[in-house]
Amino acid sequence: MSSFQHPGEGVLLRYIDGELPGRKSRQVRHHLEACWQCRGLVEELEGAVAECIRYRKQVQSYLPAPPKAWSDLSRDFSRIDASFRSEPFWKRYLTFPMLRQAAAGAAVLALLFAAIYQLRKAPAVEAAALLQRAAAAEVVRPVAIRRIRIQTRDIGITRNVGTGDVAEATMPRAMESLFAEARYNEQDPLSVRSYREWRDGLAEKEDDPVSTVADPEAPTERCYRIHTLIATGDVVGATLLLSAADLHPVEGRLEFRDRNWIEFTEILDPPVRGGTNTAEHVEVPMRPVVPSRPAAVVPGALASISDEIMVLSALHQIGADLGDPVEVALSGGKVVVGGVGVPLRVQQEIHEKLDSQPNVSVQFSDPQRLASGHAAGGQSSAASASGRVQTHLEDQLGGRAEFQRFSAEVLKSNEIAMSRAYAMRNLAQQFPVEIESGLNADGRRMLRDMLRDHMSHLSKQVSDVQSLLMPSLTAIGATVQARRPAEGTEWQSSVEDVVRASQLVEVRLSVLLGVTPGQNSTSTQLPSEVVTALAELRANVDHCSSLLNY
Amino acid sequence: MLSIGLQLVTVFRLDRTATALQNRVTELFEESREDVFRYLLTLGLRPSRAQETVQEVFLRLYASLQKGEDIQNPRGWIFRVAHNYGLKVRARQAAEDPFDAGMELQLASHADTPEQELLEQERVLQFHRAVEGLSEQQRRCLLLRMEGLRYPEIGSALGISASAVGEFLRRAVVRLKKVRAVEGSK
Repeated sequence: MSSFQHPGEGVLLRYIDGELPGRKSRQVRHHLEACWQCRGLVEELEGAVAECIRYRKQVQSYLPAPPKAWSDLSRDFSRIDASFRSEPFWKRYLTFPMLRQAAAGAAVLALLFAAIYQLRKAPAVEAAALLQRAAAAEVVRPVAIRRIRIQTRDIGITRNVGTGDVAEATMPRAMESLFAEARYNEQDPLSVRSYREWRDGLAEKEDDPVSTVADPEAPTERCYRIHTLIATGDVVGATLLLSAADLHPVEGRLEFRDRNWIEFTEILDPPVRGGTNTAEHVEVPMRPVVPSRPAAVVPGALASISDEIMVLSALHQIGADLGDPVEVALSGGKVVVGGVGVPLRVQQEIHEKLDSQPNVSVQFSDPQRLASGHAAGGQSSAASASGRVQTHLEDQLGGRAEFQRFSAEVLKSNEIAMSRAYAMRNLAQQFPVEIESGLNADGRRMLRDMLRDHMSHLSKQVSDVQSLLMPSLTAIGATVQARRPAEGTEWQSSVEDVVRASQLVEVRLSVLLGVTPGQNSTSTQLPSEVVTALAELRANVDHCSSLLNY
Repeated sequence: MLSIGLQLVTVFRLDRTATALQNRVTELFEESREDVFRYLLTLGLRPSRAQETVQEVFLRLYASLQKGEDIQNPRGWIFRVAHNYGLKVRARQAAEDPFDAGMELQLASHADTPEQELLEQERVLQFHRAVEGLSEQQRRCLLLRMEGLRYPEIGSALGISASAVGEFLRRAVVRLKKVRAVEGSK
């Protein structure tokens, strides 16, 4: 849900009634934080609810009281107990609904034992096989920083997974002990690897049949639901939802016998998952451009509300609390200062004021910070290199605004290309050579048609990116360097090369356009690296196309 | 298979847990009997019948637990059974002597009250008329929600889906919101 789509009254009523699922509820809450109009509507609904409660009290005061004193139920309890015990043993216990059903079906079960055995085993195999496939996809998926919301009945935290930042590991003790109780990896709960490790470590388990359900965040999309039950111990079971499109984990949940639970969900910034799968593979620069400062975090010392007030006071002193979208929050034991769209001048002032403070982390995630060449402590020389390249490009293109338009266009084409590459990889994984060879002629033709369609779109997008970038980059001295030749005799392996080359292009472009920091490039190498990566992708696409058309 | 195993375990623990079960049901009875009684009055049961029905509902709860039924939310279960059993009792009683709480008359009887209270009573009366003007399903959903039941529990009691409950409640609350707005503008 974007900030501009107002939820209807029904959704708002379900929100205030606590009837929305976790992710949807958080979306509405975020919307309400930004939308006065909807907040007003919520107040009206709550007013009507409060009126209902007043009305109920009033009505109750007029209703007649019970005509006589309430009787003691214990005698009736004894009567029920006696009647229960007087029944024959077998009849008594067959009143249990499940046991009754089990007894009634026993004869049929005996006759069909072999078939039932197969049916019972199938779900476990299915869940295990699906997890195996998802794990394989997870290994090859580009590493991106993800924001995960971890919620228990009482507390919730949000953390970035994949930062490698030790401070991210901070977790309330109660939550940590729940993970420990379940023997579940709390460092990266929403991953196939963690779920598999947990599941594989169980002595007794039973998988429900894998079902498909609507994606909680994008109801038009489907998810596979894996549900593992445990007969003994503190944990009742766990659930993992995997996106049907790419087996990416979107939600997980652990349930305990004492009715406690932990839910972990991926927080997606708009655009949300849904519609096409293009957005999923774009590495949105969610990581802070300025590295967090581990040196500023005193081990064991957590930020308090006093630290937060100190930060607010410091922001006030420099006038950063006068309308700029600066956000201050206590998170992971630190006071985190950040915001999107904060002017560079203000960001610099905030860094100067707060960088030396313990337990404070200043994190602005605007790509423009790198583009402008803002030099914060610890920023890599490559960032400066990309800044210099961007300055060249800005000069060539006619200014900052033109560069941003150009940058958006290039990144959009690249996103589409990536989505096609991943779609092809999914097909390659589902139809390896031996499976494809077992297809009949129609099946094979359909598969090839799909692949060719993806390939033609991918090829067009690569051409678009090349035609957008090449003139500008060659003008600043970019040349195609030596590259790996396209090889592979089967389209399946060739698709892997296409995906790898696409990922390389994506990384290089991100550095060039300043949406992610680079590491080792210089301002002269970077343009050449980009055109070389593009040329390599072009060669792989052409090679794969020729294999598909064979 | 797991559920059957758990029920078998439950069977062999029954003797030991019977007393605890009785205590638990007694506790629930003392907590909720007045709420269930009033709810049954709003269904149209006469007070004496409503009181008998309440006791019957809690005994059914005990018997069901004793038989190993897995009742996750006893309060939801109680209202569901009270609603369904209450409707049967009401159908039997209709031929004899239908009960009318005469709520409107009682709410309107504001003689000898100070002006402020009079206004408040007038407001409640308007609200009562609006509640009475809701469709049967909307009113049932609203009354059960007022008793603290969640949407799936209400749905279970009325034999409709949780999303239908959400829709009935939305219509009810929106209508009551308008009444409130009109009253507020007076």
